[in-house]
Amino acid sequence: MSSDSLLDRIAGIQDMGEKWVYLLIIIGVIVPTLVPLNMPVAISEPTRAVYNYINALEPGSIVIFAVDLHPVTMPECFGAMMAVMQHIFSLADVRIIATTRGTMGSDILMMGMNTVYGGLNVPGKEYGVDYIVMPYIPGGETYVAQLAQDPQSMYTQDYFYNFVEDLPLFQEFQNGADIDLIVEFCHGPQFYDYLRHFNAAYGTPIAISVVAYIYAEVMPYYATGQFIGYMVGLRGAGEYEKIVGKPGIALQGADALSGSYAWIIAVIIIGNIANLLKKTSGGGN
Amino acid sequence: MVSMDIGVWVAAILTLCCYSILYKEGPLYRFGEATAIGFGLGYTIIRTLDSLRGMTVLRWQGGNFETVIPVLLGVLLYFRFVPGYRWMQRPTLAFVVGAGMGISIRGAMHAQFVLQIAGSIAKIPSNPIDAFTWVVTSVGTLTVLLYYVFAHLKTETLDPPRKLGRYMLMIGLGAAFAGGTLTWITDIIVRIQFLVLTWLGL
Repeated sequence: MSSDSLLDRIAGIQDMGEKWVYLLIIIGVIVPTLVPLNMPVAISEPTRAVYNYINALEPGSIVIFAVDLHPVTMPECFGAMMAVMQHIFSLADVRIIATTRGTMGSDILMMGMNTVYGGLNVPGKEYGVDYIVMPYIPGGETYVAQLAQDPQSMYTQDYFYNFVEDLPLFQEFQNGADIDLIVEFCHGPQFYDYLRHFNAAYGTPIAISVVAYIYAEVMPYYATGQFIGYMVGLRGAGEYEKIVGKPGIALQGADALSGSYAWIIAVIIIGNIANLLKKTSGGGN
Repeated sequence: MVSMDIGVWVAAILTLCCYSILYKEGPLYRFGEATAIGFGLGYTIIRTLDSLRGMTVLRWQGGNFETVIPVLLGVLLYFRFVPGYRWMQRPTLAFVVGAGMGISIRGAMHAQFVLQIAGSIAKIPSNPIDAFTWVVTSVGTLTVLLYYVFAHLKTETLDPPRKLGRYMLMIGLGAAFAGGTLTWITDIIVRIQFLVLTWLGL
């Protein structure tokens, strides 16, 4: 085979249908899923910062668990949600108020609780005293603003239709000053609401698990200390699962993440070489 | 072992219907897409009505009528569908927009402007790597601001830093696009995990 023919073949890769690229990526995901490579997962500093902060919470602390997820973007943060939930529940007398500003947030939280604890059967914890799940209230930022200023006026019942007067933990939540940490799981710029109404008004520390496409927006707020730490996407969730020793779906997907990214990088490099070759031979984009 | 759960089978079939777009668009993809949109919308409506019940009916039954006026304002919004009376939605829209803007600006000035500006001009870190990061961040912030805010100033002196600002912007947008790719790949990974591990039980 002559070198010109080989170069022509490489240049011709550009004309390969995108279906073949999809197939390569799917293979790059399936193979590591079926044959785990157990590649090491290094823990990043922002993820460790979240772990250290939660570990140092004093007994009696109240944490808002803001599950602002949607099924489309749930895959990235679901593992982190379950790992952080298990971590907080393992601490003595640290209590959780689960809230949501999305229609499906509380349901996604219950999916996680059903997976880990089979429902509300958290060992050593009593519903209403140690943790509560609040329902969806529409309003977006106005909801978060009111949650920070006067949550008692917002809710009549919790997610399970218990009246709030019967929930001792909720009675302790009068405003943002009563909250010791917010852990938010979001799929978009919803974190700005908590930044504006909790952190700016009451100095409430915020830890966040975000999808990767808004990771760049989160970094400046970590740099200034407004976020005490963050977990990015499936990778961050896998890191947190590793730190707390509760491997789950995120660590399971870490190998597939590396495999698929290796394929993407290879495709980008080969595609650019092919484009360059085609350009030099008088064609191509 | 293949799952015997009907819910898993329904989810797997709908997933494969949606993935049929990778081959070509057809009735299977359109069925999956319509099902996803329909279920999502229906679920949202039910959850919103349930939330509304808690804020209205339950309170009114307890003698608390403070939500009557907001409900009336909300009803006014539906007059947009009545020709000749569309003006009746304006008070509600004005209230929503005004309150929303006021609530956002109050916290945004401190959290997103003051603290961020203070963080940008903080003292140079002693650690060499952090100091380099500080320099890159400061230069990038200034040059991108120059590119956007002072684009109308037609002086040759400002052209090199404006050009640098444009390149900084492209690097930032590239990083954001890479983050988007990571999100999409993660969606594929979790769906493949569901199909391979949960549905087929491999």
